[in-house]
Amino acid sequence: MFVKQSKTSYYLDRIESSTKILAKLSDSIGQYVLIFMVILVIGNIILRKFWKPIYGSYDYISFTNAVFVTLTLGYCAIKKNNVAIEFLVKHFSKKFSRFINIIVYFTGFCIFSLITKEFIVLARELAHVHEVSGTAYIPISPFLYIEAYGFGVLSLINLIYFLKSIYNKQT
Amino acid sequence: MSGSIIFIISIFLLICCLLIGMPVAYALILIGFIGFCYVTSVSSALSLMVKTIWAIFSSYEFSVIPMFILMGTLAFHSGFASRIYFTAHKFFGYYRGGLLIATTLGCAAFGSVCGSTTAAVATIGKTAYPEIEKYGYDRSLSTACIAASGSLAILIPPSNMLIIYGVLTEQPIGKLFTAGILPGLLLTLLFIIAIIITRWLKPELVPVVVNSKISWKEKFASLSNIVDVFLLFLLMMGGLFIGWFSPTEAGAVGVIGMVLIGFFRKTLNWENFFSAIYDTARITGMIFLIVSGATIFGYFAAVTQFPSFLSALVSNLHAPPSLIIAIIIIGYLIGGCFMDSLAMVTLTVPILFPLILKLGFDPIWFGVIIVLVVEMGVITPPVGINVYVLSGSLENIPTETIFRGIIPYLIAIIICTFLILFFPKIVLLLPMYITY
Repeated sequence: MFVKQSKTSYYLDRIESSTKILAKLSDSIGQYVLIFMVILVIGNIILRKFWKPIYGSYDYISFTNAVFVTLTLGYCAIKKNNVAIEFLVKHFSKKFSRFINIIVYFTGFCIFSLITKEFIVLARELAHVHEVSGTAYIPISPFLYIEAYGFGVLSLINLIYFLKSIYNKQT
Repeated sequence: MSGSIIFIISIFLLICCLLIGMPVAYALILIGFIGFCYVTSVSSALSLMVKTIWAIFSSYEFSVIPMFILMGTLAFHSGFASRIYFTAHKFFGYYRGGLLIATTLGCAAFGSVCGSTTAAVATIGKTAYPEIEKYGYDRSLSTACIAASGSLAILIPPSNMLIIYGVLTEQPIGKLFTAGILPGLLLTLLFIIAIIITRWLKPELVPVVVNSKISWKEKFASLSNIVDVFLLFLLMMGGLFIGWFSPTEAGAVGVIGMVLIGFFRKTLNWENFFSAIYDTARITGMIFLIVSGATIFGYFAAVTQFPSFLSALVSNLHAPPSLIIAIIIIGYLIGGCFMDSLAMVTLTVPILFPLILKLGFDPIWFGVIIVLVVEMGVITPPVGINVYVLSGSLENIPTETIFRGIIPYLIAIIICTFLILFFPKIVLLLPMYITY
């Protein structure tokens, strides 16, 4: 029993560290996307003033924003940046806190897995009908796959924390 | 079961989820999704959930959020707070109570480039408190002054809270920003009056500063420390005011301006720059997830027709609208004591906003009122976030010490709220002249 538990722990730690690397990498890419978005907006202002605006800039900025936000979600969860009401939680016993963590992370895993799956379904549907954006005419489906990826990472993190809570490890 | 009863049950479940410490975004998405499943069908709820998230994440209007957050984090990391504080210090530092006045003015000025109360409190606190402590000011009064003045950042544009309110209610961000200017200045003035009255009533709390008088030449020379950022603020707000920029563009101009000022003054290096980007990513991810959750929850509320039911119920009461708004404010005040301000606004606005419109209140005015009430929430126990941030950033200052000194500033915010309730023009005067 002891050997089995420690093996589980070992694999859990390995998966956790891999997921954290993935989330960190996505987050770093997201940060560069944000820099690109600022440059895009400023570029559009300058070009509009001195020549002509970037055609479809609204679409580019919107999609860039979506990519930036999605890529940062996983790391936000790792860093516990999500707002929660904690004035009651700190009075809970350790055992009860663990039970609550199991519920919270399992819920997070389920809901974000569903969102991931639905984004993939939506992306497939829109790719099938060749749906494009309103002004720049860029295909929407690749961006929906990125959304699915971002929520997939978030869901994976919740799954790992859920499993760690079950095995009574600090999350 | 009627829609309204389903919604009331779901509100109860939502509160349970929040009380067990579930992240607000998770709770909103979960309850909104399950409720929508129950009222309509699973397939339409799934479709609504994903399409709502995509609509929010890929909305041009919402791209204003990361821009202004980035501008604020850049201001935070480039040491702008200390420059602005020491300029205010030069003007008021040698008056009795002048360091507190300088702190309030420093926070107000910092609020003009940063929309986060916690950032304002942490930065100004670290700069101002050593000076205040050196001259022997009362600990409670001075730390409470920092915590309360930091809250000005969510009223004076660019305000993160006003952006989120605008996003949730589809109100123009530019108008909301300009609506915050006069109340922000009014509240700054009221904080200063509160300091002066406290000094008058309890002179033992505020020591006599035996500092040499600073010449006017020196005072005006110190203005060069902040003139660039002041010009940047004018460019951003002026650009919004006369229609040069959309709010997103104004935010991007602010970001580029802060970067240029930071690198030019050598207060920003690459490490600080990437720290600002990193912080922006953390805050933005969290906000977008909460706003998505609040929108899904709002759609669920709409499909149960609860907001209409609430409006009809309130209409049948035949109570004067001012009484209803007073009840709403008291509700926010109580809620603010227990809830994070962002959570409270995102939870309640989708439900209350239709009622506010039905009662004939101006949505821009209501936005400012909400921000004012939220300002009280960030400094009142037990969840006064500004107090906790300040206590964390300063060593050996327990939260109780800060909470003890908060009363004069709380009274100032209450007076400001009353003035805006009775004279809505304070809020609505400037937005009349703006296009966005």
